[in-house]
Amino acid sequence: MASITPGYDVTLEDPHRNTGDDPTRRAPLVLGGQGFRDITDKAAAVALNWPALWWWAFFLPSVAFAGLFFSLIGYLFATGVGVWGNNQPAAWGFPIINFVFWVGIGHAGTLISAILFLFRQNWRTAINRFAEAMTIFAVVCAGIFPGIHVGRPWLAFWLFPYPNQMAMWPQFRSPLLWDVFAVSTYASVSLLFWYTGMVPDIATLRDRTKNRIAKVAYGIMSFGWTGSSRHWHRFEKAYLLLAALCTPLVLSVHSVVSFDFAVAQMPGWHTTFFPPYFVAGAIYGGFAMVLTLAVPCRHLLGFRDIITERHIENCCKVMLGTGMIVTYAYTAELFFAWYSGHHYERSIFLFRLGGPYWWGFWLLILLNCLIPQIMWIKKCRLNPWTIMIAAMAVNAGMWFERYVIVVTSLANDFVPSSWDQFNPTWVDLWMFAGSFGLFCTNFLLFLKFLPTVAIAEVKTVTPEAHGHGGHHDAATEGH
Amino acid sequence: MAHHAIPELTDADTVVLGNRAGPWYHGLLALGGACLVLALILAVLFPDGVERFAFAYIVAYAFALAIVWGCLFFTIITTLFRAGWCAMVRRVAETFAACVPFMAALFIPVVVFVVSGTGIPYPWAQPFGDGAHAADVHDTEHDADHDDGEHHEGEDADETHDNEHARNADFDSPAGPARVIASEDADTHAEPGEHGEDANHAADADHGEEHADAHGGHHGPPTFMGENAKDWGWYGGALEYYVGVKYPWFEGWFWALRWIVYFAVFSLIGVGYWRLSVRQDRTKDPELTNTREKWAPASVITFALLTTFMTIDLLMSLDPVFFSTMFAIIFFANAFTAGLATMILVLTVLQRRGYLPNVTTEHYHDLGKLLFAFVFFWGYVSFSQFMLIWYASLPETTYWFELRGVTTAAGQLGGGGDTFKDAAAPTLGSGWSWVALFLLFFHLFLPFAILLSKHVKRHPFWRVVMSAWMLVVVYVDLYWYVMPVFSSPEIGLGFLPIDLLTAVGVVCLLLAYALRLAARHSLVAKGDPRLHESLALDTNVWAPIHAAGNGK
Amino acid sequence: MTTLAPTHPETTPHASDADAPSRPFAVLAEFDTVEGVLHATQAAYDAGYRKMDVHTPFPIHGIDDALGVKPTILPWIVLAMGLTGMALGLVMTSYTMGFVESPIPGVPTVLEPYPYLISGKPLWSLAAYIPVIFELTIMFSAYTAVFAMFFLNKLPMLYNPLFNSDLMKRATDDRFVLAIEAADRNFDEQSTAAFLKDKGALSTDLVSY
Repeated sequence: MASITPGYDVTLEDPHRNTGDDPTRRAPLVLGGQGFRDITDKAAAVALNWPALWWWAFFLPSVAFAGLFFSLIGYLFATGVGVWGNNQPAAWGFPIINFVFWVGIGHAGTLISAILFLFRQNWRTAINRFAEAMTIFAVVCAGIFPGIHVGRPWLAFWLFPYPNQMAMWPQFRSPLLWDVFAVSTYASVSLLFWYTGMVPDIATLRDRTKNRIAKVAYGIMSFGWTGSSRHWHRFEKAYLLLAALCTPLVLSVHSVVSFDFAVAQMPGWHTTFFPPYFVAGAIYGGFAMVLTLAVPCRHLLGFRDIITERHIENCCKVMLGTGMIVTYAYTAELFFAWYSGHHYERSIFLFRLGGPYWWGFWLLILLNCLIPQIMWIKKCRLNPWTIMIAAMAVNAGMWFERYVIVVTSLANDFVPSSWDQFNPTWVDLWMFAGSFGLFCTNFLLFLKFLPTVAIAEVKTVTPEAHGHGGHHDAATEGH
Repeated sequence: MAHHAIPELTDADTVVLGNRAGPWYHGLLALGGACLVLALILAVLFPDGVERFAFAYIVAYAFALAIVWGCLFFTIITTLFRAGWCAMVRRVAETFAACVPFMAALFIPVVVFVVSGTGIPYPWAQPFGDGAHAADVHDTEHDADHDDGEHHEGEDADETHDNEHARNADFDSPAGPARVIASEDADTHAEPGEHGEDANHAADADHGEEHADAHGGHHGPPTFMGENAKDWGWYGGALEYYVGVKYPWFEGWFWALRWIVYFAVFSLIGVGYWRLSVRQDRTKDPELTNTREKWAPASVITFALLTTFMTIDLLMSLDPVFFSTMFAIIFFANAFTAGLATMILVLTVLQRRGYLPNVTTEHYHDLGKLLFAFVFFWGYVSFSQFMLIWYASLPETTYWFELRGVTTAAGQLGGGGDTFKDAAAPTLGSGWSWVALFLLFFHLFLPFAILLSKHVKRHPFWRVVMSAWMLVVVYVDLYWYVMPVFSSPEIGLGFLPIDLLTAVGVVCLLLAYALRLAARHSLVAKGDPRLHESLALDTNVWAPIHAAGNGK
Repeated sequence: MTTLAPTHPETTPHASDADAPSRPFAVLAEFDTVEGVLHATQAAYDAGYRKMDVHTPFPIHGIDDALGVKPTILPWIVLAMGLTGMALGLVMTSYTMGFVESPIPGVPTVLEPYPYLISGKPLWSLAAYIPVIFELTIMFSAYTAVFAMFFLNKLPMLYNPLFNSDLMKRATDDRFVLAIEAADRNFDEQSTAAFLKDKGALSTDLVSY
């Protein structure tokens, strides 16, 4: 085997492309001839410099939409949940759809940071930080919707078990309460995971910034991190443990969300494979959002050699793969609705195909199952425009999936006399739009103030980090 | 700094076993054949033994299939992910994956069962329509307050049942599946007039009356579902109804066509990947890796779809009333577990014989991690299936668990009492309850706790113990799916020799065939362009995929 | 230095009263390659130095062996707290839902159980409690993994003399800094620095409290 040298492909024809499929070599993950210092410079530049014009161009409308979101929440509190289109029989309308939509998006971040870590997928290092940030902000948006849906949101703390003078406890048999535990655990553990991973990089910013205020802030936030090897030793162990804990956690969160539906006897909801199907759907939607953010970011932030075409291509492949799982789930659902032989089960699927919400179902098939198939073509995985088309299709498609699941089953249940159609109100629509404003505001603030790329981790995937520095130096030569 | 030199492949890695495998091959063949013959002899001697053998064969076949399918999935999924770590061990998986045609040969007995038309083990494989089934319907039609919600298309099945009638029906039937079939006949004759109560069902019931005499013991409705079949009176009706509404699926030619497609397509994938791999041994052509990778996505998609349908055909349709979308995924979890455990055991055996010196603890560690992950995954999907069915409490699915001893409340099947309190579920506390608990602890909790430890996964003795353990629990799990269809609430432990001999026989034959394939080629995919990654594997998750010096 | 840290040694927990402000803390040596620092660390360990540490911008594979770092007990703490969370979840759900009256005599009203039959489920419905028990197990384990890691690392640290050296500025960037502490019994300002120079250090620095 002597003819095959381990390590990275050092004979790239174009130093900015690493998407070759030569099985004898692994493609480099950091391009453009970068040493450790170049990586630090690039990654820290965004946080340490005055924001670019494009940042303001995105930030101001985002803030406006976030403001709209909170104004509408105020309107809701002042008026009541009647401002939404939710009504019998479709008592779960936009708030639950949006909740499932946003909490699903979060899953891709955890998949990248935890599951790909356990699978030793080193390409995750370039995108894991901002994917995790995306997770946190998506879960924030997700948490708001059920929070304001409880009717008397100022009493939402009743959801938590604490000894009280009413001698009452939450109903632990209720899937909605499982959600409280699952989502709060997920949100807080994701935050810890994200922050823990960020501490060494904040220390890097602390040691580089010239701004006195920033230095104090980063100094406090980095806890006095010195990069001690003894610290790294425990840090790595903690990181591994967190990854191992987050993997079942991320599975459980969307499984619990699916339990909200699947424990019911409602046709179209009561399907035993809902848990893994929802998890796959969540990761699908999440990867679409990762791509939606990563493709522009790598251009706008100048990260083309850190978030390389290969990273983007891999994300496309993961999106395609989870999309195929979701397509499998739709197929299996339809087949089993027939195979079950049950009247209502069969009826609800006929309703989905050709009933009053046929457009929702076929739209979701088009957006989730058909358009993303362009990702089979390598050229489309390398072209930012086709990637954005596919990702946007999935973003919308996954929202419609939840719409179809929530609304069709509720609107046409067992007794025809109770059937009614669901109509969203303007508050529903603008609140959903406003939640994007909140998400984008948070994300843009993150881009500006925190280390956008996991600086320390990216350095570990350069050849120099493993004692190949002096010998064949892909990252520093890049020829 | 001194780099670790990448270990070189040795002759003991790339050895072609050839004639050295001969004694093992013949030994396995003889052992497998002897076990199956002995099982058949026992089956003929025991009353109802032949029926039991049919079920035992399904369990054994499903178990062997799980091993092959697990290895097949390992082959295609690692190819899809372009994994390098497994290059040293993947030939073992590929060899088992190439056994698909042999699994087709082993399927012949199942075809014989189906063609025999006895409805054993597949209840749909009996003449329905004018004869046998109607009697069964009639047996359950004596219900005064059935729920019209479940009726449509004129195919009547009453999901509810009447305890009183059920209790009247032939209570003295002795234990034992064959007696159940016999007693069911008696049952049919004993209550000829009951159906008349329900005008909607009169026609069918009369039908049943006419043919009641015609259906002999063999063509009886599948009341072998338990000695308490009399308490399950609705099942027979449900069975006919559901076989009716799912009719195209249970059409003979369609069933045959599906199995031909399964074996054809999976042979293409399994043998195809193995061929490409052994060709690469000779040519060392990296293009072959590209070819493998090009076809991997399509193979995985095909695998997912066809395995779903195959699981329905092999296992779920043993009970045509039951349906669960998770079922195929649970079988897949079992299959991958069995495949990994088999790989670990086979590699260990080969290493004991002095082969494969370059398969290191790191490879076992990675296989062990996957095994651990699938212990958890099995728990996740099995719990989800159970919890959702338990929570929704729909009679048409909960009976499936009740039949298997998992119940805390009296359900549709458990009847017999006049009050809610009296209606104790008949299967609670039965042997199947203990099997279910065994699975909970020995398929999930204990292996999870034990395999959590890195040291167990890397320990030469413990990893073998855990792999063998996982194979046993996969078998028990499949047994728990299949066998209650034949006998519940009693397990029928008297039949255990038949069950185990059949399983050992089928697995030995599979191993013999796999060994025959393995003996022709190198034990390692020596042409794999990523072999160096596997040779220098370091499972430290922070280490890069490529080889790295560790400073010492 | 950490920006929030007071720079006067009198106020730091590390400096005892008898210490002069110029008391040496450690000799730092910077390296620019992973091999270099690994090699020097191994040499220092072989030369008998024990109280030393390597400050790096990212974790280095193999440094634990070179430094003689023992495996951390963190996993065991996490395991213990995970089991605690699981037990807490099991007890909480079973007690609050599963009893009509508290089995503990004289329990205050606020801690009475709240039996509530719903959808035909038994009072003690373990299957329905699994999600809550599971989430609590994960929550306890994950919180512990993070907080115990920082606790064992003695972070946040308010004052660390290491930051008095400019060499540390690049330890989070592109340099690998080997620090041999003055508390080591083989430590000598001159000879230790010379030893490190000899092992290929780009530069050395004596850092004081």
